[in-house]
Amino acid sequence: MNKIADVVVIGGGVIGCSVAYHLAKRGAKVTVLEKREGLCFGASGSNQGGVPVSLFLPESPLLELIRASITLYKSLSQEIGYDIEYQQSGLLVCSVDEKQYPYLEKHVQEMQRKGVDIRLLEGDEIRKLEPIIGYDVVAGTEEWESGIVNPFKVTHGLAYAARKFGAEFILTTKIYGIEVKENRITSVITDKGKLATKFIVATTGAWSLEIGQMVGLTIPVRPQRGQVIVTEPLPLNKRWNYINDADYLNIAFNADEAGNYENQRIKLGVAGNYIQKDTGTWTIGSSRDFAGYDNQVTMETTNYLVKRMIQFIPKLKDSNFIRMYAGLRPFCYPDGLPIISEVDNPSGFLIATGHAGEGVTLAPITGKLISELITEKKTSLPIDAFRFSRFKDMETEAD
Amino acid sequence: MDTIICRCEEITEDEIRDAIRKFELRTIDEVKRLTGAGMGLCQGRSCEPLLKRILAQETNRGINQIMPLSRRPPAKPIKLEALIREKGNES
Amino acid sequence: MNKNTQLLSWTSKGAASEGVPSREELEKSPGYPGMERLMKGPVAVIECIQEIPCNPCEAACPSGAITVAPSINSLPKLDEDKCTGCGLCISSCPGLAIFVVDLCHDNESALLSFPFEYLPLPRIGEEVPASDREGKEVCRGKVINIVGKSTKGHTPVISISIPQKYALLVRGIAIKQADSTRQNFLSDSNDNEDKMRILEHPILGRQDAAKTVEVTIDNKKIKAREGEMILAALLSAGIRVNRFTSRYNQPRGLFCGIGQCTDCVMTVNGIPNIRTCVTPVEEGMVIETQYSRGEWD
Repeated sequence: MNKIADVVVIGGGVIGCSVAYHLAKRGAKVTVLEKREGLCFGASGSNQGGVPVSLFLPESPLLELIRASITLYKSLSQEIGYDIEYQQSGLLVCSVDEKQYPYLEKHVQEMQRKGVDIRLLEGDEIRKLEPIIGYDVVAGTEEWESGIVNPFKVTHGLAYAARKFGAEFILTTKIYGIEVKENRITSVITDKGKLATKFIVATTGAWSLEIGQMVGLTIPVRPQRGQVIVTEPLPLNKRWNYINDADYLNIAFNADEAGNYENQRIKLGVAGNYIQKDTGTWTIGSSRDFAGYDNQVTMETTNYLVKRMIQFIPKLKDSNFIRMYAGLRPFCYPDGLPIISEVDNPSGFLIATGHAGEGVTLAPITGKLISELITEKKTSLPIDAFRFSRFKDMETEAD
Repeated sequence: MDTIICRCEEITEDEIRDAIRKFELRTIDEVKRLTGAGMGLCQGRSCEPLLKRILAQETNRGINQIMPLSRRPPAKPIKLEALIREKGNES
Repeated sequence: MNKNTQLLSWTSKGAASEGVPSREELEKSPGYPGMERLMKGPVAVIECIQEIPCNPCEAACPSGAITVAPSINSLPKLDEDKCTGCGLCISSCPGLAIFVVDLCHDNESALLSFPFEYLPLPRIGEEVPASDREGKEVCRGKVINIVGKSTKGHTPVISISIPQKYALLVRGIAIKQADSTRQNFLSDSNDNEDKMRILEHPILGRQDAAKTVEVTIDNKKIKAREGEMILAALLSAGIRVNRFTSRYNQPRGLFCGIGQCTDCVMTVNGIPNIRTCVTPVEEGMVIETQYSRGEWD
C-alpha cells in the first residue's frame, strides 16, 4: 500500500470503483480501501443489473442523473476497453390493478414531456407481443431507454481501468480511524499502516454510518434488504427481458408509507422485477425490508415474490429455481435520495452513497460528479438535491 | 479447443485464467461472477474444485487458503411453485 | 520344503518411493513371519507396514494369533506359534495385505493363498500367470482352491501352487482380460435392448423381474423396464447423446450419473432440464433431445 494518496476511496463497490476510475483518469493518485477480499461484495454484487428510466416519478431529481448515467453507459465498454455487457433492453412495466390505470396514463404523459420514449399498452396488446405475460395484467407501459448491464463486469471493469491509470486497490483492509487536523482530513489509519491523504470519498454503502462516525458525522444510511430468486436457464423471451411491476414505483420510493399498509406483501416491499439474462436464467425480485445487516433469504418474502410473479409471468411457476440470495441496499432514510456531496467539516471528506436500488444505474455519473467536485470544485449537473447539508435543513424545518 | 472447466456454461480454462489475471482476483466467488463459471444449472458442483485449483495456482496459495463458493439455498433445484405451497398441503 | 531350494528375493527402495515394500520393511514388520516358521508349514504372512487405524485382522483370527496393540494404529503382530495357517484372516484385510504361504505343500511347489477382488474368478485346475507385488508375471501357477463367492461384498481367496522358489515373491495372479467363456454377469437375452443392462450384479445381486413400459425418444418408441431411470432406458437402446449445449453446440450424455452435473438433462413431457439419470421412466413418457435451453410450447 502506498503511504500517500491524493484521494482515498473507502469501499470497493460499483460506486467506489467508478469514483476511483474518474479520479485516476484525471491524474489523481487514488487508493481504494476495501474490507473484503475482493470487490463488488455489497449491494453492487447482489442486484439484478437493471438500469431503469421509467420507474421514476417524472419530477424526481434522479431522472436527469439517470439519463446522464445511461449516456455514459453506452460508451463505457469502449472507453475502458472491456465489455460490461450493457444492453438497451427497454423496460415493460405491467399493472395488475385496474385502479392504477389513470396513474399509468398520467405517468406516460409526464415522461413523454421529459422526452422519454414511452407509450401505454393495453393488457391484450402486451400479450400479443409477449405471450408469456399473464392474464392478470390489465395494462402497461413500454419504454426503450432503459437497459440492463452486468454489475460485476461494471465494477471490476472500472477497477481494471482505474488500475491502468495508476489507482491501487487494497483488499482485506480494516480502517481504524481517520485523522483530522484543523478541520481538514490528513490521513486514514488502517491495519496496514497510515495513509496520508487530502481527500476521502466514503462509498461504503450500507456500512456508511460507521465511517461517518469516525469523522463525527451521522450519515443517515441504513441497510435495506432485497431478496432475489434465480431460475434454471430457460428459453429466451421474445420481446422483453426486463419486466417490472407497476407497484415498484410506490414501494421503492414511498417506503415509509408502504410500511403502513395492512397488506403484508407491501410491508415486505415485494414488487415484481423480472430480468432474463442471456444465459436464459430469470432473476426474480424485488423486495425491500429492514432487517439490520441480515442478508439471509426468508421463506416469507420468497413466498410473496413467487405469488406476485405468478400474476405477471405465470408460466415460470413450473420452472425450477437454483439459487436465492439477498443483499443490502444503502437506503438513505430521510428522503430516499442518494448523497453525492462534500461536507463542511471536516473539509476534504466527500460522501457518495445512499443510492438504495439505483447504485448500478447511477455509478457512471456518480463517479464523474465526484471527480468534478474534487478536481474542479463544480459539477456538470446540479446535485443540490443530493447535498449532505440537506439533512440539517430538514431538521431545522421540522422544528 | 481449450479445456472446458465449467461444463454447464462452457467456460474455458483460458477465460478463467485471463479473468483472474486481468482483474487480480483472489476469491472464486469473483471468478464465478465475472466468468459465469459456477452459475449454471449445476451451480458449481462439477467445477468448484477445478476453480479452486486454478485460483490457487494463479495466486500462489494452497487450496486450503481459498474460500469455497458462497452457499445459498436451495440444496437442489426445486419448482418455484414449491415456495407458495402451504404446509401439509402438497397439491 | 526342499532344502536345496533358494527362495527368490526382490529389490525395492521401499513402499514410499516405489509403491512396493522392500524386504527390509517387511522383515521389520511384526506381522511378517521368520524363515524358521515359514519352513514348518502354512502360516499367515501379514505384509502390513503402515501405521493406520485398522484392526479387522485381529478379530478375524480364531486362534488369537494376531494382535493389534497397544493402539488401533499399531502394526499387527503375528504369534507364529499360535498361527495355524487357516487363512481366515486373508479376506478380512481391507488393504489386501495378508497372505498364507505354505512351503510344505509338496516337494516342488509352495501353496500361496491370496485375496482376489476381480471378476471373473478363475476356475479350479486352471493354469494362471502368477505375478509379483508389482503385478509383473514371474511364473505359472495352478489354481488349487477358491474360497468364497464375490456376492454381497465377500472377498474370495484363491490358492495357487507355484514353484517353491517364488514363495516370497509371488503375491497374486495377472489375468489380462475377460475370456468370453468365463462367467458372464450380463444378461443372456438376445434382445438388443438388454445387452447393456446388468441384470445380475456382483454386489447388488440379481435384479427382480419387472414390467416393460414403452416410452418415446424423439418420436421413436423404445421399451424400458418399469422403475429404471430414463438414462438407463436410453443407454440400453444405444442412445448416448442426451442434449446439445448452448454455447458450443457440443453433445452431452451420461457423466456423473448421480443427478449433479446436469449433462444428461433432456426435455421430458414438454418440460426442459429434467435430469434423466435420477428420473424414473413412466409409461408413455415423451422424451426429447434438448437443444440448448429447450423450447416452451
